[in-house]
Amino acid sequence: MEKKTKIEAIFMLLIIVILGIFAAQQAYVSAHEIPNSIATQYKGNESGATQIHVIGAQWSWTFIYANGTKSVDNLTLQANTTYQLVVTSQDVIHDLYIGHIGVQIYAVPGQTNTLTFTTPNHPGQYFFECVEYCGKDHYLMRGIMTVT
Amino acid sequence: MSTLSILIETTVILSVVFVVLAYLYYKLSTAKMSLSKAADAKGYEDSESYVTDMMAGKPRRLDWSILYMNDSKSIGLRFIFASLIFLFIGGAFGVMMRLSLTEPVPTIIQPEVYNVLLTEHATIMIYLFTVGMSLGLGFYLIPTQIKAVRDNMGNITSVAFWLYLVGGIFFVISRSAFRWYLYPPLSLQLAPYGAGSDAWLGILAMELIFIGISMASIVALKIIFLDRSKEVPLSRLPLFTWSIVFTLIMLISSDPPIMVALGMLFYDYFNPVFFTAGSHNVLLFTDLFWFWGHPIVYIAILPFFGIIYELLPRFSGTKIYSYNSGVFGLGLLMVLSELVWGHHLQNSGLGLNWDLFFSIASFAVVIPSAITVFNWIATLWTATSIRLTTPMILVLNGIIDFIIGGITGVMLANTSVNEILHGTYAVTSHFHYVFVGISLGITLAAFYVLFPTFSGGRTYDERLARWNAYLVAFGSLLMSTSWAIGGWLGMPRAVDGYFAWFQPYQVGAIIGGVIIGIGMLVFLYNIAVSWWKAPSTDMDNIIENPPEIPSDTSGGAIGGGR
Amino acid sequence: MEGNKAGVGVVIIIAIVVALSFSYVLTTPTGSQKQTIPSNPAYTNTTYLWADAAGWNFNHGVVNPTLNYTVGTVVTFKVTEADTAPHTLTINPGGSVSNPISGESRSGAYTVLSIAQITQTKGHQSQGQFYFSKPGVYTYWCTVHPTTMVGLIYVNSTSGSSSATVAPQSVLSGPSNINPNLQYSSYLDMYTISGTAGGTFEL
Repeated sequence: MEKKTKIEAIFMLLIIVILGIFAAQQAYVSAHEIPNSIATQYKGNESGATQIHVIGAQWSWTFIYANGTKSVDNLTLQANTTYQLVVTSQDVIHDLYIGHIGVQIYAVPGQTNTLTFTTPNHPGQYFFECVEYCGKDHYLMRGIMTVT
Repeated sequence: MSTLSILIETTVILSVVFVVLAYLYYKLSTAKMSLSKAADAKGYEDSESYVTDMMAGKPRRLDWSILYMNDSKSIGLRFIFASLIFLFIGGAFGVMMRLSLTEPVPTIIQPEVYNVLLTEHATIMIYLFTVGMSLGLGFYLIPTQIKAVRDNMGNITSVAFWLYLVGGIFFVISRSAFRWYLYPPLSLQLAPYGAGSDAWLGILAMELIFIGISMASIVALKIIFLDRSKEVPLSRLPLFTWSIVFTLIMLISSDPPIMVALGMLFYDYFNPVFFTAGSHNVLLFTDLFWFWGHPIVYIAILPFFGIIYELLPRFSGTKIYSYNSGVFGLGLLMVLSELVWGHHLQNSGLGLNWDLFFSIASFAVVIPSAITVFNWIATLWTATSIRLTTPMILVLNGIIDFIIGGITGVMLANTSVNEILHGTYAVTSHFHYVFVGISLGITLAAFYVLFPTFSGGRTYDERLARWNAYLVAFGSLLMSTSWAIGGWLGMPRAVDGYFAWFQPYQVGAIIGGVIIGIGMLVFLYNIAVSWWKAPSTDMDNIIENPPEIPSDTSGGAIGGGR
Repeated sequence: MEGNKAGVGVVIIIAIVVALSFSYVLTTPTGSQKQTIPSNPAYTNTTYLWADAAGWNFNHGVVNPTLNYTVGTVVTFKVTEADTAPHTLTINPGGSVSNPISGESRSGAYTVLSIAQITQTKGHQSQGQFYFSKPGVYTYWCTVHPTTMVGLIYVNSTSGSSSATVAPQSVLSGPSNINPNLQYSSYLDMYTISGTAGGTFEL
């Protein structure tokens, strides 16, 4: 084998090994229950998860809690509790994004997406936004999530 | 203004326009006729072959005859200069968007206008500038590189060019605001708070552009494979030609889905059955779109990889490190580009299995990219003398930007990280690193290299060109890095306003964007000033007339270098 | 020599085309309309509203109150920001706004107070005027929160007035002849948004 070919082969093998490690790691993280890991949309409805229905509209988020009360552009959650978001949209495609706790899920009209996540241990305020362009006042489709 | 005066003014304007058009038609048709007569006199069946033979071995310069001559080089020049105009339109829109974001609330322009700018910037840059420039450089350079023996389908390419141009004009006129991926049902909403009142025209315009570039691609593939000289076998095809081949195959294989999807979307204006909420099929369009939409972003960079492969050896005085792995890398990029569209749709409910498949397929894209970058670095490593001219500076900047953009891109492919970064400015920073570094930077490099040929033997002002290169490189780095930091903190993209705590990152990006704008103005000034001077050199350029490279007996990795 | 000017020609063409398309796009209509307010109206009225994302006048009496005026009234709306969300006060004489597919234009919709005027400062009061020249049923809502912040305005005709009335039409149910396939999600059927006036508005 020529020297050039050897160098290239070693280089490619190295890249493939690094990528393989990353791929295996992310498959494991996505598919398994890791304590204190970021939220994932792949977990089923765990026992004890409180359901919250989320409806995206141009240009507001409506949250409907388990007891039937609603809030608009404002989400209040208990600390260290597991919630399940059931997300849909009434007009166009939206995307609910709560960056600090790694929640991101599309709100698609005519379809419901679910996502389970656990709120942080400590109280605080976080922002959420729509991150899928949804028309004129897209940038106003945002609000504050309060963890008490 | 009364109705009568409007009628009179419209009539006068239309009359003037028609007189001008009639004069142009007369000029062009007589020029065309004299061309055909000359071809007949020499015993040619078609004037394009005559033009090609007449110009064989001669460099093609820019003049009015590119508008009616239908040989590959003239059409290539048409594509190059049309896409250059589109580059400046899209760039102006981009700078305007930046300027309106100085405050957390909309300042100088209203959200409606901002959304139109957002849509047009992306669409013009991707569909009109990069694809047009790829086809232009392809049609301009490939006949020389493959020593084409025949060039007889110029009239079809010419139609393709005019379709592309009309599509581009229609798109600007449509003032649509559905972003470049036109997700329904938003793209079906018209005025005032949806996709803009003439969004249907935008969809028609896109369809025209796709028809045009598909036709041009098929003709270009035919030229490369059937009209190639026997002296240039496939095993010795220049790397730029290979990159264009892979680009065109990608174009032809992936744009039928989007053309069909656009047809269905257009039908939805009259009878909404396909992509409405009631059909439960909304995400079908996104799948059809991204099946094309991911290859298009590779189409936008692959030809420029080819240009880098052509320029690196010229300025480093050595051969490309490995010809075979260069072709292999470009080809693997083509194959993988068709398999990763789903990573644009993570979090939309595809499910764990598909998300992991697309995520790992996106990881695999690193392999050909790394082969390509390694090939460039190895070429520079083994170079004997590197000449740091402006094109070389732009090439080096492109390589650095591609490495940064590639690494930030592979981060996004991870499903978990994607939940945090999808839809934020981190994504914008990733593709602006690559697009500004590779697509824009290498376009400038190629333009500077080809400038003596375009202008008939004039040389560009080296000092101004360097300022242009440095400003674009620095502005791009500042803009994209600000976005990257803001995006990791959760700054959403495509917004006309933002939470006030993101302002520092936005301001950084604004300064960067304005610096890029100034750099491009320097480029325009350079063209005007340098073209004004008397010719001082011959019309050769180093891509078409490569200088002799000192022989390197070791050859390429497997089958010997070219 | 022609070649001398070619580069300048390229630059000039680029400059002209860029300037043309730039000015064309920057003049995109932004939907703002002008309304002439008569200087000597027959009646005047002042209405106080609290803008809250959960509904007009949320925590301030009747939520999304139905407003009654006589035709020919110039109403001064004084809107107080009750939360920190962006709001508008938009009035529409019966036209549809929210058919997401048909692209029904909000012809006649008039934004009395914009997002910029109702500053997102809690407690800030802004005011705007609207002239009700025709009798009929009007809707008023916030374009940012059209599902919750929406209510009715009845404009009664005075005796002897025979001008055309404005047809009653809900904000949220547009004409269905254009898009028979549009259905909202089942969740919207299950829950009615709280505080809508008199059950007039169905989702």
